[in-house]
Amino acid sequence: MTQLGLLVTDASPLITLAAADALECLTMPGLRVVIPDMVYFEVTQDLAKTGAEGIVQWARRHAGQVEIVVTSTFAEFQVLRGAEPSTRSRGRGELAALEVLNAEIDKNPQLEAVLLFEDNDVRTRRFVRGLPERVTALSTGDLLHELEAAGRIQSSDRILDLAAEKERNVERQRQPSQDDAARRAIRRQLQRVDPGG
Amino acid sequence: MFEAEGKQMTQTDTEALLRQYAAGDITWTSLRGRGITNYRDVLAGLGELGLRPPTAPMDGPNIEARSRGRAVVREALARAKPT
Repeated sequence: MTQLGLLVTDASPLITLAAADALECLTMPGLRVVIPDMVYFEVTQDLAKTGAEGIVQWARRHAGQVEIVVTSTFAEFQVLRGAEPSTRSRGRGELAALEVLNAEIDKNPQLEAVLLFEDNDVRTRRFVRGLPERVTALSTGDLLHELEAAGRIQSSDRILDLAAEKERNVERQRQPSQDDAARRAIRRQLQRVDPGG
Repeated sequence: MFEAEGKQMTQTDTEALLRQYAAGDITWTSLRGRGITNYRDVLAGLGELGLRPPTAPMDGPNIEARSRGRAVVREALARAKPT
């Protein structure tokens, strides 16, 4: 008999749901949610970005259900970054998720685990077929559609729209203003003004 | 908007890639391979274009694994009490 028990997430679903302030969607099914340390690093490395602080708060709020798990993948990444600070995390979140999944199902022969991954990748990528037995796959959209069907959220599309809109707004605030030319003109004008009136 | 490793991508290149991504024609892994390495930038770019992140239709070679994954969530939701 299998035991429902574990949702391991990659970075992009976390980022999407955090951006939409919808991280509760991950905890609604009541399954244990595991975030590999490598993935946690990827999504929280810049807390100034939208959503990252939300992830920290959400993980604290659900302590006991949400867990950050250490991996060799992250340990190795840290060593590499120590030697070469520009080392990128590219693809390591996925590796770390697989490492966690393998360790968890080895530990518990009854456990059925779910890997939460980005939609287009889950749909087509070959590695999904190579997942260990008792590990199933799920995309962000799949999760949202199930929550919608169960009446736990109103609209999966709305959550995805919000994620894109909010990140767009953050990006706009981060970028140098397009009014820079106008600002420069005002600055020049102010410099010409005699402070004495 | 994006700076791929070693070369600047034009706005047109980026938009074309993001549109393909939103339509489900290319994957996030493929975007990363082309130098767009931060998923937040992908979301922001989609927002700028008035697009939403893609949701994969229930087709393709991994449909069995996904169907099982959805069934696990469905069962868990049926057991979990709404909070």
